[in-house]
Amino acid sequence: MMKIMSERALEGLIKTIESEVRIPEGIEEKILVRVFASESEHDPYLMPFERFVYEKPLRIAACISVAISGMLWSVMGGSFANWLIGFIR
Amino acid sequence: MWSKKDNKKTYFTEIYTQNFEYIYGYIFARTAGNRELTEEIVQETFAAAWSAIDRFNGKSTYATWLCSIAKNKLRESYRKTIYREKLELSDRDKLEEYADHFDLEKMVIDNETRLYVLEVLESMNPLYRYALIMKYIDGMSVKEISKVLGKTSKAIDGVLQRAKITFAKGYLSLEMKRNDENNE
Repeated sequence: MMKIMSERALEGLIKTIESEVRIPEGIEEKILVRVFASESEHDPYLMPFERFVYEKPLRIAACISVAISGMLWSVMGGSFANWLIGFIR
Repeated sequence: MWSKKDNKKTYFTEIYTQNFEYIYGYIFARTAGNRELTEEIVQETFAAAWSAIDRFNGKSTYATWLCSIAKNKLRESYRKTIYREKLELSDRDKLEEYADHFDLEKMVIDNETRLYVLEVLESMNPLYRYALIMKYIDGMSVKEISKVLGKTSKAIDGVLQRAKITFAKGYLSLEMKRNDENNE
């Protein structure tokens, strides 16, 4: 099959679209605003600890319960076990 | 890594400003000059970068990193567009014989030529358009294109053949129109 246009000519033509682009005025600022806005809508900025609490609530609950149990045990001593059994019943 | 949200924003804005033009141009060429789509993909690229900035490992430059995000966003867009528009091969896409009368040396690459190229690409079936862009702008092989578009290598081979002819015909008819207008 003969070609309507040589491979080289075709490639040369298509590559012209890679030349410098004129960016419409104000578009850079507009997109940046949208980027930050979309983030605040879907993924609010959180401190690392806040993110941990948000992402792993069960781990946080377990840590809190162990800490409270330990504290009560240290205050109540041996009666803590009896108190806990009574509390559960 | 970031003591305050504002620090992170300022840092990101700096990266954004430094790379915006490059990323915009990169995406613009690969959407065949579709401004609306370019804006959409540029926004998606920077939004993805903003949410992943904490995980940037610094092994590459920001431009390379942003480019790889843009590449993935472009591929997602290609796939979406291609599956949305059913490929229909019309008679004008058939492989025909033509004389090789188009000479690159005689071709004047000016802004008008570029606009014609964009116009022709825009009017083509998206599958043809993106196959040509991946082949000639990204320098991808048939196998690589077939992976991105989820088609067989044989199918992409055929698509490329038809795409080249559709493009050449479209471009030449625009060229003829331009010459006719100039002669009048």
